[in-house]
Amino acid sequence: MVTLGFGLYLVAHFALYALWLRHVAFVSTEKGIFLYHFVPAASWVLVLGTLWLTGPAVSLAEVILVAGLHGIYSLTFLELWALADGGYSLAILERLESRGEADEPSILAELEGLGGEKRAARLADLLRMGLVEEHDGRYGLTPPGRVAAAFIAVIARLSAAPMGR
Amino acid sequence: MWALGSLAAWLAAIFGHAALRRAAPGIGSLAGFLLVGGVAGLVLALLLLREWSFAMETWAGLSAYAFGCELYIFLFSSIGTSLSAANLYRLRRGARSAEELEERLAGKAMVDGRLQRMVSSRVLDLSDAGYRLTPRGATLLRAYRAGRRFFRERSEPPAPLGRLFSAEMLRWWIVGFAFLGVNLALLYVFVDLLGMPVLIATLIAAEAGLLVRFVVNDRWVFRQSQITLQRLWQYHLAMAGSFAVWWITTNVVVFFGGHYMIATIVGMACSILMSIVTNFFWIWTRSKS
Repeated sequence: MVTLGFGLYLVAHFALYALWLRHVAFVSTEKGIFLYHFVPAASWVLVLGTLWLTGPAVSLAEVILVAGLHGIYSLTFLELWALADGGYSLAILERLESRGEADEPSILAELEGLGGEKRAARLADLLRMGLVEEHDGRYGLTPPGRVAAAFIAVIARLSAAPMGR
Repeated sequence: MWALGSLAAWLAAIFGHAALRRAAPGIGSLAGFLLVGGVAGLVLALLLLREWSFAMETWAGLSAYAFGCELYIFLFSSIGTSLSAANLYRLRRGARSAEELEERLAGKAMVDGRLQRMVSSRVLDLSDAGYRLTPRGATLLRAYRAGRRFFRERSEPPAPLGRLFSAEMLRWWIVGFAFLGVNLALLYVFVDLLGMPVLIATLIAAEAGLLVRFVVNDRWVFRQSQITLQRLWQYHLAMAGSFAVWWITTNVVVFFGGHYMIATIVGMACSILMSIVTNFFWIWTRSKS
């Protein structure tokens, strides 16, 4: 019963976005789309978790199944949403499509400006989120920023991810 | 036990991937994880099927494992390309000026990195004449554009339908759902705490809920600066109309042989539609904002 209800909910959640919410300005912001996924996911886990703790109506397997499936659905959705923003790679592909062929200096000339804008915007985002602070023109990590940086370093080390590009 | 097995398989996939990346640096990060994660997932699936067959525990263990793997792929692939992650990573070793931060992230380095990656994944071809899109790159570009149309391009519906796709509509639904709880709470207060008979309590709770909901709709949903008596009686009339629509529709569907539960759902849908029409196109015809 829980899994059937959850399946219907997933269909309704996606249909609601596809038919209506993607046209609403707030939901098309990063904060809006994150809340649209996080709030119902947290509510499901909270309600089912409470039911599991208080009685036999719901099993732990059902709680984990719903949490896992919601996680897969939301993460896939948010990745595709973020990917649709395009960015550098898409800008390169679009320029090459319109021009047929291009050498590196000409691509570089067109995209360096975009890179500068992105770098400034990302640094401003980190300042706004309180992960970075500025003193006398120099930027340093705040305590939450140090935690985030340490987490990034662990993932980078584990996965041998190339950093900084 | 199944939950621990799922966790163990996830950790095995992460550390197996770390070992593979060091033993065979030539293998791509994503391909490496898919290989190791696929093997760990297969072993987990076999163990769960042997122990639990197709019971809920098997699906729960597999879904938790799949979510963990997707999360890890998301983390390592995004920190490798994210400017914010690169900035935080560099700042671990001490404060830097904006120029120092940009030193390695300068436009040329970024474009170089992306071009190399796109050539190695055969999205681009590199020849003497320069870079050129491959068929795979063209397909990728089409997929990107389809995604952008769906996720990022907001169509502007014609007025007055534009109000149906607005933030005030979203707020209206939030209030509607919230008041399901408020009405229950009011009923509890009147019946259980104040000891009123249910017949009287439901009437008072309905009117009290309606008044509060009107104020919230007027001030928050439709952003009006001044509450007016005209809108208040219009709202009462609209709510009475919505109730009548629900009651009539439900009974008509039952009369024609429909199940009463299905009938009430159809009635609710018609009643909500009626409320949208009256609220948006009669009572609050123009939002202040």
